[in-house]
Amino acid sequence: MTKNSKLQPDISDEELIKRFQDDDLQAYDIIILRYKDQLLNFAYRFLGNVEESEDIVQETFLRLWRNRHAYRQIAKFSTWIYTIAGNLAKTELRKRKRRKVISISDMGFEDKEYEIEDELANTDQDANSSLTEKIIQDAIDELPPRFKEVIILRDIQELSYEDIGSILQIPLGTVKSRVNRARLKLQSKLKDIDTPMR
Amino acid sequence: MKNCTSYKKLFSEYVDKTLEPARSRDLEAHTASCAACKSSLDAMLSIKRSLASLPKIGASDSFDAVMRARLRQQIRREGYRTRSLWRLPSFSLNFKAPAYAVLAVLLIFLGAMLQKTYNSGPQVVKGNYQFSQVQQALLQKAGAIDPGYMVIAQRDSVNNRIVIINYVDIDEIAPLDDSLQKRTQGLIYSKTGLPNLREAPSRQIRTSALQSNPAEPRIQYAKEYIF
Repeated sequence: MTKNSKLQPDISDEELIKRFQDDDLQAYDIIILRYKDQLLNFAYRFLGNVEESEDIVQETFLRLWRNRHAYRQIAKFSTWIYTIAGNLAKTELRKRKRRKVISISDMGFEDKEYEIEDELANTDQDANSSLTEKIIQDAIDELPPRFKEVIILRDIQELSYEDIGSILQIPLGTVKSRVNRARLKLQSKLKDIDTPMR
Repeated sequence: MKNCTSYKKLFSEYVDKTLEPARSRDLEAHTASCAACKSSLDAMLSIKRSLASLPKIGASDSFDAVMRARLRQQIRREGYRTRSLWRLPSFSLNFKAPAYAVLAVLLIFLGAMLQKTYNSGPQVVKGNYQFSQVQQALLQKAGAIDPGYMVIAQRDSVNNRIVIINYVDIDEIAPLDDSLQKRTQGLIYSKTGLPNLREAPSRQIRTSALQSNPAEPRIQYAKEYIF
């Protein structure tokens, strides 16, 4: 059986969640297969850490398990599950920020050593993709969360503006203007490098 | 007449190709005569392409196993009942092969331990106990029997009854990163309440310790049951 047939593309997400609500565990299995990688990449671009991202995705599926009966057909399933994953990722970011504050404030003056990498040093002659990826990821990380989430959903996950609006529960106009501002901000941060990656 | 700031607000929709044709033409006319806006628009297009081409990461090898373990914990917490926990989702094609391999090793190992082949469903392990007696004793002690329980039971020869020394969920005692050998040692034996068993490296030593335990002279032997 190929992976594609395992995903059963002829069955909609909404039909799968309905089956799962009726205790069909196979449906839950297929949902996980369908969304594991895309949620993982979403979380990874949000957090920049594979282990934390996997944890977020697993927690997302556990919440799906726990709250399967809370899902109503009025919403698209994909936006529902992205909302869960996004909220978990944002919570993780906030926790991380708090940890960072505590960690730095706990350090004595002598302990503070900062090593600043010259990330742009080699880009002229060797614009390898991994370095460019790191630079882009760092630029994404520096964006405020509200810009970060729209840029990931739109330009990396390639979701529609309508779906992004549903996930973030904001009006379509706000999504568009926020995506535009996020791109301009990212552009400003990346002005020194020569993209695109190949 | 629009200024550059007004045009910049249209950039996103333009690169997404969702801008109305008339406004697109207006923007193109502006960028043809404004080098700064043209440069900025080109940069946005370039970055959009870069973001779309960022490499996709895949889940680690342990993702499915960890997911499965976390789900089992969740199920246990909420007391969800399935006809068999073995019917739980396998999560991915990639998980199937290692899962079968692990299961095969588990079966071989348990088979060696129990001198029987594990089959799904309740089985009486080789021994003299009535399965129904063990089941009843376990029900009294645990309140329920879940598939996947490993039970260590003893016969109290004086009172002619089955005593459940301990029962554990196989998954609970199976840290994912350890070998199967490690999984089934230590943890099972650490809760039997008998001395010197925590470090017991093998079933033989444990059984021997049970048989020679002066505190429990009535114990004849111990048997393990897999539900």
